[in-house]
Amino acid sequence: MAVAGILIPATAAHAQLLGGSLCISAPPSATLGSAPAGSPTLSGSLGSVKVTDTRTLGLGWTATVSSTSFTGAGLSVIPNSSVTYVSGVATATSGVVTPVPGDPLGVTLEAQKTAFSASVGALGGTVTWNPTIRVALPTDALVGSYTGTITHSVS
Amino acid sequence: MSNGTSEPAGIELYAGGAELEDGQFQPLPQEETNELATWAEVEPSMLELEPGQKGPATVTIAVPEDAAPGERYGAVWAQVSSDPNAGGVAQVNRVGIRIYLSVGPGGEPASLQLTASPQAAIPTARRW
Repeated sequence: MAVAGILIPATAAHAQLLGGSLCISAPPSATLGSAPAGSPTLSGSLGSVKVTDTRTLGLGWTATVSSTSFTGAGLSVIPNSSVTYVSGVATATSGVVTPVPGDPLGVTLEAQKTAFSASVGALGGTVTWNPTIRVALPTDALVGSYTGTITHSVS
Repeated sequence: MSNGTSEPAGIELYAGGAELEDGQFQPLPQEETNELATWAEVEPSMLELEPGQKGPATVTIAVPEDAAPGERYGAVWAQVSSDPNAGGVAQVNRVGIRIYLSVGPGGEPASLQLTASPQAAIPTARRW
């Protein structure tokens, strides 16, 4: 027979768990604009991403980011390895937080990567950053409208 | 869960797996899964909330009696997706509560129920 225990960090000693919430807010979608055929890259801002942590346990959080390939009906496939996510440094913070960009100079999204993380004091706090993505365009990319999806996961 | 935006939101709720890499908690992408994710069920799987509205969700983790001992990692996700527009970058944003589950030998199987508190965008946990 197996027995299982759940560990919610730092709360094992508490009879009642504290509340609070972890929230992410980000613009619903973004447009990279367009580039003439043969352009090497296309960059654009994803808009401000803000993580609000009001949990009183001082847990901190990590935001990871991943990308699909960019494609469209009848179009070339631009792989996610051609997508670079540049978090930059935090543009705003509140509360006692130590924000840590994943790599402010950018990470390629061939796999899920850390976008941002933060340690947060017991009174909660927010961190805002303004990522851009840079897509390396294949020289033989077909002309058309490409779409892809960027996923931010915060836990 | 709570919708802090000015638009109605459809929130997808599900349990996913995670792993530890160099001591860092790394969530698995939505399309991958692990044992813990298959033991966990989130009800409802979709919550439609008006702006400012809150709604409860319940996670039930049923550990099989013959589960191998050891640690499992996962997260319960609340996810909101945008509609892609042409020439656009669609964004999926999700917030998760980490699960660190330790399966040990002997004793009775335990199950854990997580329910959302009114103020929380993530559930608080109650062990029984």
